[in-house]
Amino acid sequence: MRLRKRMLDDLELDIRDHLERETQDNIERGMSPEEARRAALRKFGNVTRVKEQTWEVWNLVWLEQLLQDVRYGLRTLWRSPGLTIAAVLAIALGIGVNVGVFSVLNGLALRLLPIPHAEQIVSVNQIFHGRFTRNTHNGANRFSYAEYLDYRDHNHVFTALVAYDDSIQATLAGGTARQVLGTAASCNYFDVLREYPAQGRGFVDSDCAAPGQNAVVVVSNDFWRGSFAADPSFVGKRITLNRMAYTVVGIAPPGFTGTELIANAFWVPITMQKTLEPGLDRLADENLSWLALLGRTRPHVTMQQVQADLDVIAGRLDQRHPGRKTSLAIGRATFFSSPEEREFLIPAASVVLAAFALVLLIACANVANLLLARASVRHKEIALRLSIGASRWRLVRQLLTESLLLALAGGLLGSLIAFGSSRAIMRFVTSHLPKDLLSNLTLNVAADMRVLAFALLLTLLTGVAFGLIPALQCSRLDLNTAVKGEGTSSVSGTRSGRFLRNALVSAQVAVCMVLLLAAGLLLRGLYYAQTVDPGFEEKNVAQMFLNLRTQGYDENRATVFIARLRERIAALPGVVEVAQAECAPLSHDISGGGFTIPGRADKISIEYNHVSPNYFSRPDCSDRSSARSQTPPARPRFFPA
Amino acid sequence: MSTREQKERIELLQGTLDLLILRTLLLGPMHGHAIAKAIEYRSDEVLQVEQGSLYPALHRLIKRRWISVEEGTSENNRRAKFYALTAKGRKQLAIETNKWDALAGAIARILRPAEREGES
Repeated sequence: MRLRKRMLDDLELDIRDHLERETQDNIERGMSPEEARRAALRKFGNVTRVKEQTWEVWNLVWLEQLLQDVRYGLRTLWRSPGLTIAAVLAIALGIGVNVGVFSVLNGLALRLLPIPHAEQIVSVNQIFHGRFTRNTHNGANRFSYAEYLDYRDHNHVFTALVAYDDSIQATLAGGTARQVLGTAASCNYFDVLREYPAQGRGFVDSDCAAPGQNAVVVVSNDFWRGSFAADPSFVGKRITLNRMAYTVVGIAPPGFTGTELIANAFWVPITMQKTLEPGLDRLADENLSWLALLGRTRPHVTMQQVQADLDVIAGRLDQRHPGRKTSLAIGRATFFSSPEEREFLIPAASVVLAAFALVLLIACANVANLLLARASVRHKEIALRLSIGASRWRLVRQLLTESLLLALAGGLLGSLIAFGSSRAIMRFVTSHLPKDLLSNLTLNVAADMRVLAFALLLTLLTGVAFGLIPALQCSRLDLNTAVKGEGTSSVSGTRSGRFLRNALVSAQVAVCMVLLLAAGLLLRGLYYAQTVDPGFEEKNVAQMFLNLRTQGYDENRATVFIARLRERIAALPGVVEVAQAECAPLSHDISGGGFTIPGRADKISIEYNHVSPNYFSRPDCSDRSSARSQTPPARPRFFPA
Repeated sequence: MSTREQKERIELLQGTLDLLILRTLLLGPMHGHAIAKAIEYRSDEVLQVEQGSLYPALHRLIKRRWISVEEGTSENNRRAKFYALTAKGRKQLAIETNKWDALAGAIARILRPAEREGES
């Protein structure tokens, strides 16, 4: 370092000394002093450039030049505020929407679960191949209880493996009865996730010892505050879920609402499933997909090791089910871990991202055009700098620095708006979702390192994208005409310049058209979806959902109850007719089953609905004839194709 | 006049200046101006070194520690920087000379294949 300083400090002196010696030599050769000096200078070359090149040998010059470029760039941008503001706003819009969309995607599919040491948590999913039958509840990638026990007891890679069903609907009795969503979980749940209850305890092994024996519950902090007024002595009290009293053993830590997108209010031991859902013994069904699996890996175990170890177990399970082949999908646990969910998310996300990338592209083309237009004004400045010895690369660097400054300003503004508004956007989106999903989404769309890195990368790319073409274009000048002043008509006047600007404008119009058409189609689709004629009048129809089984009704009592309920509703003033169905029209409920045909080996699956005879003949059915013909015959007959 | 003069002279290839400086300093420590003159003189004034480009090259060689620099007094009693070859520089010169010979030989073989054909 000292050497560098000494060498550079003396450089000026050395050069002057060199020139003096050369001049002296020239005088000795018989030149006049003035001529000798000129010849020496000519022979030496450009003194400033020599100095610069020598500085560059000792490096860090690029940093100084960068600072110089930044200072100069800021001054230039400051001098033309109109252009600067327009460009920054265009870029802010382009980058803002992209960062906003990315932060939602990040919250959905990239961000790890919001639990301690989430990087150790692995989500295990199975994908089946081959011809066989399988029952499904919650998701086709899930596991049966017997399968869970196999993976739990025979793996060598997890410290522990959790299984849970996060879709337990329960009616909370007391005061006004209401539906709450809960999870039936294996009893290591809170210990493995390390979400130790803030009050009371989590589950212990003995809670899961025998089916239906341990009616204990852990409630979420929100549920405790919302429905029980944060009762300080709540642990040890009893609450009634689906007509069964459960002892509250713990209150989950604040903020923990399970490992799924929709928040859970309570957790019960997995062995209580049949008690909460009478008539459905999921634990006993070895061929039912209903449990999600999360494992916490042992230290220093890689994903490959997890995959290899669990594959052995999957192979062993397949031997017990002829015709079935299982492959396991294993990955870090996020809200969207299962292949089924990803299959839905990835195409949707790519379409949305592509659309917003086009918006950014338009912004880039716009700003590039602005810069090209300004380049014509700066023509003389650039010509002057080229003529006094600036290299073209140096000029391009200077111009790129300017465009990067613009991009940074735009990116910063856009990102700030995106971060600030993501909550509001989420609220807007969720307010258009069905009511029971509303307010229960646990999605975290806040910025993290990944979002910041994305924003920065996007900003830099944008800066180069809109800056490079104008920079290359305006550093390529005919010096002669430019310096003489004939070239004030500018870059835009040259043929290639005109071509470039025309190309940019056409590209912009083309991309705009694509976006407008796509947006128009989407809006039209949305409009149709909301106004399509479903074949019956939706107005003046009220719906009501009952789940009598969970409320302890058997077949006979339920029939009596329904008959009396329908009678009393029909007697209400203003009610025209009452119909009953297992699945309401246009709801997402589906009942499925299968049947076999004599002479054919395979089972044919079918979706069905259980309805009352007047279901299709309600007076507001506009397409009555076709509706009637669909009324199921008393004894079903099937005609195989 | 100057244009004609320059046409007769050959511009240096990228990187060869370093080699020439090292070879020149093999004669003993010299100051900058003397190095420039020596290169010109020893090439029968065919090689036209833009004298200024000597300085970035000198600094580059110092940074790589192929040459060293010390203060001294020149023939007419003026203070000047004297550049001298280091042991590392001497080794490097041998390597670079070999490389240059190989390169020059290869180019010559391509440019004048006839001579070789004649030999065979």
